[in-house]
Amino acid sequence: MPTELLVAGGFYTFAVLAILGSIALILSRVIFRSALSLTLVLASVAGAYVVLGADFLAVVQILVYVGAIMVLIIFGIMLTPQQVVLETARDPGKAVAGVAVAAAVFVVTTGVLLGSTWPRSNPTPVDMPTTAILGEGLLTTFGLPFELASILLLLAMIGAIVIAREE
Amino acid sequence: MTGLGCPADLPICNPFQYLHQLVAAILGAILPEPILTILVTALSIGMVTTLVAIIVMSQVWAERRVVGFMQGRLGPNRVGPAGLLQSVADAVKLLAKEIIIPYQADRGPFLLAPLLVLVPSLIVWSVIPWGPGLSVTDLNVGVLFVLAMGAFPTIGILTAGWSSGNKYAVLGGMRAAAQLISYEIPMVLIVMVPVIIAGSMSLGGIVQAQSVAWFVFFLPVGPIALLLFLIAGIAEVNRSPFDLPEAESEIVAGFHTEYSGMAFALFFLAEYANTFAVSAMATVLFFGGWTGPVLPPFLWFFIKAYVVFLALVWVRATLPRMRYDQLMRVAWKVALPVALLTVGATAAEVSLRAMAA
Repeated sequence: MPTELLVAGGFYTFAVLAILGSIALILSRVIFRSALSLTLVLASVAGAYVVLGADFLAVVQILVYVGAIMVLIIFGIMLTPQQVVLETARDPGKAVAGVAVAAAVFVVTTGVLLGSTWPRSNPTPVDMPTTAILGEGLLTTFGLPFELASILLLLAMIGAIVIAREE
Repeated sequence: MTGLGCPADLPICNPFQYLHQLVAAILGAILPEPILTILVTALSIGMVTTLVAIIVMSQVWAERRVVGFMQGRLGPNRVGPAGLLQSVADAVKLLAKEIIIPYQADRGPFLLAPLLVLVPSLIVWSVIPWGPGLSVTDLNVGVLFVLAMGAFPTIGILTAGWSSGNKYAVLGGMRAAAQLISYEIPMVLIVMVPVIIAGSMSLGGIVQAQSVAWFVFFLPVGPIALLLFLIAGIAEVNRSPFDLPEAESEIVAGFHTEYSGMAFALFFLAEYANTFAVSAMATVLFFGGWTGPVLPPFLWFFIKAYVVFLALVWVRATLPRMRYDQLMRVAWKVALPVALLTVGATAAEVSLRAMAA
């Protein structure tokens, strides 16, 4: 019972942190601070993974999202100093359009979320290392999607090299 | 669980269990079980953090002394016997100094940055085993966890560089980011070599798999993997000859140009904690961790880790700083292909040996 309490407490702590981070992310006018908030969100999601027993996923989340993607985003921000602070939109028409689009997205997303049934997974936690199961799954049951994703990434990489090459 | 030559009832051989018993004996009657566990965990973390701080002080002293001798001078030798208390004096001095926040700086991120760098460096120490069962926790993804925590400080360095409002700091931050991203890839690949040989990602499991033979002697891939690991490790902790993010002859002090007092000391502390983490990881992954005859396991671990650390000091005293394009060329055109080949060769060798056995 106390363990369940700890798990629930941990999960909701990270959930609240992620939500607070998201709010800070959209409210900040300094892009760099938004990027830091995004880091908090991604790290909190990793924390939630830990609490839910998906340790491999959590570590990879940190390694890929915080270690690589966030660094690239911040790198990009630092290379564009003139856009570091966002200007307030003075045009009321733009504000109205923005609110309308945001409201539409909100309504549709909420509708989908409320309309979906959320199947509860088998709550027995996996006792053995999740890496072994993940590895087996990737190379047997999900072999084709795994290879397709690899080819997609390879294509993206070649594309990036071709675009970045000056000729 | 204890190793050779270290009786289980000696507190120093089994500090975490001893701590648990101690806390349970004193507070067990008052506090319920989950709070007790949290308290013991917090105390264990405090213990390891204190240990890291002591290690860092010893390292700073050792590095200054050793580099001094290598360059034909004495190094610090005034404060305490053989200058041993120099680091303590420096720490006190830094604590007493003012933390200056530049007018142009972005206050919040500026003060957050040293913590973003230091905290992951300390978290790494929660999984490094310095004896059988002697880590705060033994994760079954321990190796990846260390790598993930090694990637975290990049954000802190970038934050420091950006929020200082100083172009040299920005340049240093950019250099650090480019360097860390480049060397992260060979690092992750090369760490897979011991993982493949041991068949486990838990650091404790990797050490146990080396009770027969150290992985550095797993020929022919072992020595290559160790060399690449040390190169990538030096690059990741920004040590000479890869210390371009803080190259004083070009960009003042790089990302920590504007930091003073304890805020600067935190960067310094993190750098040395990371350096020792690289030494400790090399020990765990390639030199059999705490295994060894006669002496207690934790002593073996520290002896090996300090030997690796001294090798890093030697490198620092010997090699000049690299140029930026050289650094990048080594990462992408040498380290990455060699790492890929080594991982492939390891996988082939392991499966061949399994077939032969």
